[in-house]
Amino acid sequence: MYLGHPARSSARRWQASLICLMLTLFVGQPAVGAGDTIASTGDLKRLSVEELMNLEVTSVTKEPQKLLQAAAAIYVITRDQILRSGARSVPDMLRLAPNLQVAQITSSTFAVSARGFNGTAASKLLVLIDGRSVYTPYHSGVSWDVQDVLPEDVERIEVISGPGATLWGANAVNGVINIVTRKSSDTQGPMVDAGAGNLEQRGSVQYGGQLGAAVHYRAYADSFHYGHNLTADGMNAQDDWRKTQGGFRMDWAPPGDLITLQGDFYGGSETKSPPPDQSASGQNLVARWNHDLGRDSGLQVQAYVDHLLFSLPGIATDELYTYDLDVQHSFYIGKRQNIVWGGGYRLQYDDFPTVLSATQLLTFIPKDRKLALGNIFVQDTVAIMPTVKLILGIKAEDEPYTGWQELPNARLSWGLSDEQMVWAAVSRAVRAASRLDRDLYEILGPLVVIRGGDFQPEKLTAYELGYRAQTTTDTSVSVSTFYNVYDALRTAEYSPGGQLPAMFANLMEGETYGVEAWGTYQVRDWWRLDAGASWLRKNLRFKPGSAQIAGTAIAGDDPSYQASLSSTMFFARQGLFYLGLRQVGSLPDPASPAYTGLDARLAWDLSPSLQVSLQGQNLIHSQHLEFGTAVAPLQLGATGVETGRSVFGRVTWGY
Amino acid sequence: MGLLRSVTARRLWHGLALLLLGSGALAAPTPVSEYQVKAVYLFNFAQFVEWPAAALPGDSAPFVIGVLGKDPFGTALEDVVRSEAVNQHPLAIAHYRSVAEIRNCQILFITASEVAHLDGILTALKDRSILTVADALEPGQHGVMIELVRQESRIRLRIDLQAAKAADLTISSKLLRPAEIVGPRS
Repeated sequence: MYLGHPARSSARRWQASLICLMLTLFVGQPAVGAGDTIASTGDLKRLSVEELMNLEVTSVTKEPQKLLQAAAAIYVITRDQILRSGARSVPDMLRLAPNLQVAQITSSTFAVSARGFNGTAASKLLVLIDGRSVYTPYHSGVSWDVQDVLPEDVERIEVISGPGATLWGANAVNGVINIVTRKSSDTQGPMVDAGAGNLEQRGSVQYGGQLGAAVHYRAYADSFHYGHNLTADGMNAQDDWRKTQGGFRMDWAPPGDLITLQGDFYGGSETKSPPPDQSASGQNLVARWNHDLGRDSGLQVQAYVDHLLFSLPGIATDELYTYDLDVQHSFYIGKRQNIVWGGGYRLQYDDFPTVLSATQLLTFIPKDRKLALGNIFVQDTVAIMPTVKLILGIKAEDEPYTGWQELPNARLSWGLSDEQMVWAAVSRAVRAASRLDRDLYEILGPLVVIRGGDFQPEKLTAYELGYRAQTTTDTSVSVSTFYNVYDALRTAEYSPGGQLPAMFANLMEGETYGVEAWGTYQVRDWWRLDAGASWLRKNLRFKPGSAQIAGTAIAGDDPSYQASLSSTMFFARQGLFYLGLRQVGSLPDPASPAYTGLDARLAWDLSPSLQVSLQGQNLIHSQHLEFGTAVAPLQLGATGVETGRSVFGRVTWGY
Repeated sequence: MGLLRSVTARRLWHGLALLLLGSGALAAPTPVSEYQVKAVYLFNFAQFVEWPAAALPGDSAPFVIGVLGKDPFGTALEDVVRSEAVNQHPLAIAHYRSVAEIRNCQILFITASEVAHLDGILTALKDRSILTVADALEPGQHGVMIELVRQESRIRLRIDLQAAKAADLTISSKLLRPAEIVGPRS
């Protein structure tokens, strides 16, 4: 646990660790005198080579060199950023990315998307936690209420806006979020984090240890209760929720290999108005083997099992089993060409029984279905000149319901200098059909209002251009533009003759275009600024023959602009003050006004391993709407529930 | 089962002891800047590598750490070597724009701007006992004796023993033990 001050480490902290080394390792170390204010360089020189190798080094990005070469609009949310801002839930962490739109709908539901088409069933984003896909096939979206990662365990979150490189596959249409957790060897020792506030009470414990020289592990447990949001007139929206989660990770690193086993289990419930309450529980287990084949080539094999159970007693249950296997091999031809190829297979069993009643008219037919998804891909990166890289890739995917799709992409990156590069990309992406698109029925007595249709995958051809500069380790800027051509977007259509039942079809098309920009600036060595902004224009239209039910708004509800600015300041060697401001434009339909959000956090290190902090979220308005009023079409999920102000006090002990 | 439990118990006690000593700091060391650490590594190399007598300057002439190309260290290298000496040779930093400028030099850090011309540089340095150091090379490049490889948020060493031997340099086991040794590549 640390404040992560980049340039000034407390002499007292060094003194403490040197004393500990003496006591536990019985190695003579020259003690740092009490009156010493030696520059950290002096302290560093006293370390042994082993200690130097274990020092954590700060930077904006994980590997500045590699990020500079990525031919995509990628924003990396670092662990530092997450810890300093105090973000605890995954949606809060994602708000730190300027290329994502995050809108809170109720206490436990969020709409998250990149480059438009947002809604609770926002379907165009691929989200992975350590390689495990966390989208729910019944609506191709993500249930954010069941994805939880301890902030201390996050290594980084890669947010790519735009079609993921061919490697990532279906549903990486508008973006890919890849949450990477730290290796167990980086989370050793005990950790306790507890906090309470007007809206949330939360506690987590974790312990990391070692079983022999090459095996590290950690185990954690986390529990929270998140209070209710507010209706438009300030009343309790009856949507509070609670969840408990636990898990572990174990890494074994014999030379040339890394074998990881990790798993989580959780259970929670959300108050719904009217009752019954919804409960969710799940378990997952992931096994991964990274093998170094020598000569800069490597093999990765990953398998996981995931079980998820949602339950609204008396109304509906959704039970989903997922089995997945992925293999990837990377190697070099000569000095300038890198090939990555591989494949995967995923099997899902979804069982969604519904109790039809006067108030519950929706159901899936058949109630259970087996969904199989297979893919093979190859990607070739060629350095056609020392500063120019060409990436050509293609993935073929066999999707449930619709069969084979080809997803090609071509990218070019050109290094203008050591610090600047431009990139361009053309790609094709596809949003596969989900159970919602194909199996949904709405039955009103003898009348079938909606029936499962012949929905085909949505298609995107994306043209992107970007510029990136990293002038020093801590100052960078990135600008990306895109022009997306969509086809076969989801619409609801009547049966021939304008009769009921209606069904989902693909009679919308259009273009979207926009700009995303962000940068960080180290004003002083104790003060850093991060800024970001995005603009989006949508031009969607129905194809001839469409009934145009509910208008083009059913594709998604998006602001035309969004901007953010955050400031991180270190003071007095132990203090941190974080301020995050965001301005989100108005949403058209369901309508909600533009709003300004302000988050703040003050943290103080009482000792190297004990930190207290106070943070507030959404401090400007006593309550505000993020996603539109209650009168909204099915797919978007708006409820008119508003987010209130919150404060949260917290103590963290350990790392 | 009993043995495992007692081993685990011992580890838990060990962990508790470290805890009570406030060693939370040990679990997650305080981060410092990347180039500060690399500068300290270069300082360490001066002490843990043996140069043949012919390669060392006479008497109290300086022991030189050279930087070839666009300097990424800022003031970090100067800070590290200030008032330091190796075997009575005061440490000094030199900046070079090309290999031709190199005269007395014991350690040479090849910066990112020059790494593209690595083969030419290494050929020019062939018969001199200069310890070559660089940040992680591009795959397919080799010949640098010590690479400073960034793995997540740590800087690790990758040592090409063959290259060091060819330059008549002996690297101490203090550096070899925690480092990744790379062998000959065909």
